[in-house]
Amino acid sequence: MTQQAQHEELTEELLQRLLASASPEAYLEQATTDDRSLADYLLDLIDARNMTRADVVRASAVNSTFVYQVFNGERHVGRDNAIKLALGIGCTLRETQRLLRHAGVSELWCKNRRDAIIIFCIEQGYTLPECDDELYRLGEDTLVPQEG
Amino acid sequence: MDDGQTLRSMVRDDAYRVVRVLGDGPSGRTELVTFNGEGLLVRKHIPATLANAAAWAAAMEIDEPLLPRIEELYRMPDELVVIYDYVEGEALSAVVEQEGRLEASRAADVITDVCRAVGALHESGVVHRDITPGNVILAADGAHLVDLGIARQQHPGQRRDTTTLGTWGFAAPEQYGFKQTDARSDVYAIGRLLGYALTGERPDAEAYEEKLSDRALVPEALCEVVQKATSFEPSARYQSAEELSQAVAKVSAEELSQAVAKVPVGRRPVPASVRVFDLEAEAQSQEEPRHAPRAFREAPLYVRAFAALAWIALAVLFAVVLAAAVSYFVTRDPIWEAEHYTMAVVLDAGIAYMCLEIYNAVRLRGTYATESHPARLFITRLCIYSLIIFILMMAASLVVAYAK
Repeated sequence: MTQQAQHEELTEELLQRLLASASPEAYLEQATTDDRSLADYLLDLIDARNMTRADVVRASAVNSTFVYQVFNGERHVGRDNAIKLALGIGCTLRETQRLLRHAGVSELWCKNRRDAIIIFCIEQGYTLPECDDELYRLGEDTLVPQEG
Repeated sequence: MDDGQTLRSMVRDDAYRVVRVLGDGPSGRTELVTFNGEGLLVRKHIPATLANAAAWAAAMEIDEPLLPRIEELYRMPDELVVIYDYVEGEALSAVVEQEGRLEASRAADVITDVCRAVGALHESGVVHRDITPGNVILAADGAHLVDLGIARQQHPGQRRDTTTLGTWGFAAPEQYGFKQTDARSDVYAIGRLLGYALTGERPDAEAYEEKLSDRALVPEALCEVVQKATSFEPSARYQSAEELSQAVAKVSAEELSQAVAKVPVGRRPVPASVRVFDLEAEAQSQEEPRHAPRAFREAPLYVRAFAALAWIALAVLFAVVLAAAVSYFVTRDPIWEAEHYTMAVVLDAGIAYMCLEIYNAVRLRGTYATESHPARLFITRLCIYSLIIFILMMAASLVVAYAK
């Protein structure tokens, strides 16, 4: 587990500190920046939950080669796939947002209809299939593409 | 590799927890792992392009305690993963770096163990190809050979190895692509290993040759074993690890313990690399007492005379041309006509060329001793040709001048 996972400072707190700082250096000297790659962050997440990569594969409905490559840092993740991984791992909303940031995609935004549904599902602790059911019920694109 | 296989491999892979990374390089990553929290194992990731699953699979069948005991072998999308038992001990490279060269008898023991391990490998048709001090672990029960990273199986009739790898200084010449490697390539590497253990220097270091020939460090008999094992031509080496092992065993215990050998009086041991280049000097110094004259002043008279003549002619001509040119620019009244200036310049160039040739011939050939016939002939020919050219040019210029 990387050093960072041990004690994760909240983004809001750090932002307050940054805005209150006299100069960028004053903030940077004090604060720790998060330099983890997506692969590192994912490994931290599954280590914390005693999960294996195989568990992630089964829970996220993505193929194993893809998971293997993502965890090796050899592959970029699209937004939907990142959300699928977050649901598969069972992340909290905060962790999901961090995961999306590390993947280089936009975070979930409650002003977007589809995102709002996903945020709700994550907060309620839904699994991926349950989340997809909600999306389908409310007329939005599901995360796992429908056949046909 | 299909998805199901990847998943199964991942399940197996995830069962291991990394304790420490032992090494990470272009030939793969090696980690120390535990399985379900118990027992220490080594997990080696080998890139798929380099891995030879057949060699590893064959190695799995071998029952030799001095070889890595392979527990698992599985494929991932871009690599081959091997799990084998961890051997407690220090690598030969680490030991030599810390303690310096090994005692001859200890080195002999290490080599005997390595030969045994390699012999077992060869019996299964696998060539190791990476026998280096980093891959030999000195454990409590002897020297173990680990890491079959670039091992390959013998394919009869193959002209070259498909991948050319190896550690510089230890890998046999044929591993760099000249022809297929075989058991004798490993013999070469073991020979280098012995040399390394005895001298404490890597074979590509400058001090290696010197120390190997130093009888105070390395017994004569063992040095000969090393030389034979590391012959460039495979057919000149020991033909198997077994043969090499026997040769080492033949070196008596007495010779091994007698590290300080008497240096024969009157003959200073000369390092092998220096020997080659001094052959010429040796051959010459073994000639009769009359030593070859090298200075120009000792050259035969005709050469010196001709050279002097050429220099004088050049100087005169140069002076004449210079005087005429100066007078022309001062008085605007040419003594000669234009063609004469041209001829003079061409003559100057010709004579300069001849002088240069003579000078070079004198300098390069060096000796004018009468036994050196080819040199003498060369200079004679050169002088004659130069003389002919000189006369022709003079004649041509005179003809041109008087034709007006």
